[in-house]
Order: sequence, then structure tokens, then C-alpha cells
Amino acid sequence: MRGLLEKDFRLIAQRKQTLLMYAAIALMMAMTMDSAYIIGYTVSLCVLLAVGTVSYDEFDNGFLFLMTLPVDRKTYVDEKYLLCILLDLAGWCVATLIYCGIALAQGRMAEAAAELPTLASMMIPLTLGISVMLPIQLKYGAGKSHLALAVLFGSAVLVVVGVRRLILSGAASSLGERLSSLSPEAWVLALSAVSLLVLFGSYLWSRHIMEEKEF
Amino acid sequence: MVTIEGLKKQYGAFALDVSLEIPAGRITGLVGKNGAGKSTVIKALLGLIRPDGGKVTVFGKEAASLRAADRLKIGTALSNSGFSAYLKLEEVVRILAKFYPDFNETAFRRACEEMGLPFGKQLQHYSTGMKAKLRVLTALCHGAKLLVMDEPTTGLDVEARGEVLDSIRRYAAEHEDCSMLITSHIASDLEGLCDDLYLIHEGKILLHEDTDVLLSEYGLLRVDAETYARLDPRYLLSRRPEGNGYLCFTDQKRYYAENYPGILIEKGGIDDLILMMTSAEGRTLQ
Repeated sequence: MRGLLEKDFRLIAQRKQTLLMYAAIALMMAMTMDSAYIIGYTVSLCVLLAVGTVSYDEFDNGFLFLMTLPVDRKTYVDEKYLLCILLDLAGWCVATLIYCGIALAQGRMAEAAAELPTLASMMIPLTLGISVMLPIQLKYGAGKSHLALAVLFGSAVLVVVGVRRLILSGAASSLGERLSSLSPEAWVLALSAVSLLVLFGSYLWSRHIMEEKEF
Repeated sequence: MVTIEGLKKQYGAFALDVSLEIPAGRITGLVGKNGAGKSTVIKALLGLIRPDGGKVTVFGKEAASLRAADRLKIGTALSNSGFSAYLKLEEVVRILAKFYPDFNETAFRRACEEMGLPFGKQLQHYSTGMKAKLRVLTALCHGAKLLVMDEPTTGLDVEARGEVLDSIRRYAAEHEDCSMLITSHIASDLEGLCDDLYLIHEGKILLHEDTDVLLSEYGLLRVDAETYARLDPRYLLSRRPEGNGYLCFTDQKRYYAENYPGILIEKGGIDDLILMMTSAEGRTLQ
């Protein structure tokens, strides 16, 4: 696990120039835009960087060699999820610190502090992002995963539009009323629980994918 | 150390059906033409593919269930795969140190310097020979008990090949209980290194022999058609037409030397073994 983490951090560090460019954009966003953007932007980038390490592993028959190192398939999956979560948290912390630092300089720290729970709730969609992207990247590889993700997100949009129409048409009005009566805190708690469950399911699915894989 | 019993794997029309054994402290060569099944055997041994049938055991465990702790004892050099080309050797050293508790960093750095591998260059800028050297050094750097090397000298010039083979020989001498499985297209590499050889063709093992026996007992008989008609066919493994006569491959060259004085007998090597045993005509005699 330590060797895999070392490898991935070093591979991510290879993209120094890209990382610096991302950091510059994040700073500009922090100074000029709403808080949600910088947090969402930074954490999304971190997740993409972490998931992208699978492409490095896959490139040039890399998996073949990697799986001969003292690594078993379960450890490989464990490491990828750990890396994503670590980078996800690190990205969130850095972005939040930048946001708070700028808010402090602009004299609106109290406002920024009040926003922290909302900012924390942004981890939910990003956790769902990890849950979807990692197994798809492992299953389809760098080439086909883009197509698979496009199909998946397209299907998700269709489901959301379908559910919304169902609620608006009155066919599921009681469900709509019940959902709208929930407090924001209850929503965050419920969605957090759901995203953690989805993450765990995704982890089990990834393990299954790796166990089935041949190199 | 390694036992493969009735390993079966089907890829379209290609069917692998192999049994072999690598005892402790033995260096075994696996030879055969391209596509004969050498890499598939290696992948099965390392648990990288799932066999359709048969059993592959390494250190007494099913290859598919090898864990990280078991893999610590295996050193691998695969011909077409290695660390990411975006890494530098200096970074590879740090990574290896994290992977292997027994990683001998000093010896590894010294060997890399001796072989002229630059530490600050990305591996994508290494020559084919440099990459091959690094793959072998990586396999030898952590005191492995089993070495699996697929074409370890591919892409190396004569001098570099000598350096790599020397490092493998040195490792074998310093680690007497270490077993090795090596494939190579270069017969002289295997002749000077292996204790025994398996010949694989179209997914089947055609022959297993000690290298000493192969080099001392096997031979090529160059005979005209008339002499060929008189030859005792019992010890002829294969033959192919050549000019007005035949080129025959035997595992009893002394028998023919004693009973057919005057016929031309040449020493048999691994190249002859592959050529004579895997040609369509050759196999008609088996």
C-alpha cells in the first residue's frame, strides 16, 4: 500500500505545471466568484487527478508489471479509494483555507464561517463522483471509460427529469410533499448516508472488477 | 517451488495445456517460438490470468491466491512491462524502498551506476537496452526466492547482454535456494544459464531435458538419402529435407557415431532443438 501511494503521489507530482495552472485558476475564482465554485472546482480536480492514476497504471501494459509487485488486487483497490478520499479531503481543506483567508482579508469572516456546513455538504456529490468514476475506470480503462461515463451521466439526467415530471404531474405528489417538508439538515444527513452507502457499494464493485480482471 | 499440473487456457483457437516443475535452487528455461504459450505460462504462474483448468502452485499456494507477502519473495522482469515511463530512476528507487522491506538500496544504486542508468532521466527517455537492464535489476534488488524473467536480454547488445547475464548468474550463486524461470530467444543465453529446459510449442510441452544432456547427447545428423534409409529411426526425434539428403535430430548422437561410422554428426543446441522439433516435418517422427 505504501509503495502504491508513493508511486501515485509521484505520478501526480509529474503534472506540476498543470497543478500550478489549476491553483492559479482556483485563486482567481476565490477572489472573484462565489465560495461554492472554488470548493467544487478544487475538489473535483483532486478527484480527477486521483482517478487519473488508474490511466497511468494501465498505460503501456503497466498493470501487468504492477500486479507482480507485492500488491494484491484488494490492496490495489483499497489504495485507489484511499487516494481519492485523501485527495478529496486535502482539496477541500486547501480550498476552504483559501476561501477563509480571502474572506478574512475582505473582513467577512463571520459570513464565511456560517457557510462552512454548506461547503462541507459539497463533499456529497464528489463522493458520488468517486463512486461512479473509479469502478468505471477500472472496468473499461482510459479509452472506453469516457464513453461509459457519458452514457451513465446521460442516463442519470433522464432519470432525474423523469422523476421530476412524475412529481410535478401529481402521480407522486405525496412523495414530493414529504421530501419538501424535510429540513436542510435532514437532507444533508440523508444524502451523506446515501453517498457513503454508494461509496461502499462502489468499493465492493471495484474489488469484484479487479478480482475478475486478467492482465 | 513451482508446480504446474495440467494448466489449461483457451484463447480462441489457441489452447494451452502444460505441466512443468521448477524445484528449489534450479534455473529452468522455457523455450519456444513466438506465440507458443511462454508468456501465458508466466502469467498463470504469477496469478495474472485465471486458468481454465489445472493447478498452478507457487511456494505451495495456488497462484491465484498469492498475497502481497508471497509476492515479496518473487522478482519479475517482463519483456514489455515495467514502471511508468513518466517516472525517473531516482523516483523508482524511492518507490521500491516502500514496496520491499529487504530492498538493498546501496547495491541497487551501485548496479544501476555500473550499468550506466541515469537517475535523473524519465524512463520514457531510456533506450530499449536501458529499460531491459532496469527491469532485471528491479527483479534482483530485494532477495527474491523465485525469479521469473521473460526475455530479460531483449534489446541488449552483446556487451550489455553479458552484463545482465553476469548479474543473474551472480545472484544465482549468492542465493542458492533461489529458483528461476527464464524465457529467451537467444539460445546461448539459456545454454550458459539454465539447469534444464522445457520446449513449448502450440501450447504443449514437447520436451523437457537437462541442459547438460541436451548439449552432450543431442545432435544433428547430416545424411544423404541412401544413408537415411539405413538409419535406425528409433532415436531420431525429427528430420527435414536438406539438399539430396536429410538433416536429422537425435537425442542419442553417440549411438549413431558408434554404429554409423563416417556420418556427419554436429553438436545440437537450443536453436536446433526449436527449429527441428517445431517444424511441421520434424513432428511427423514423434
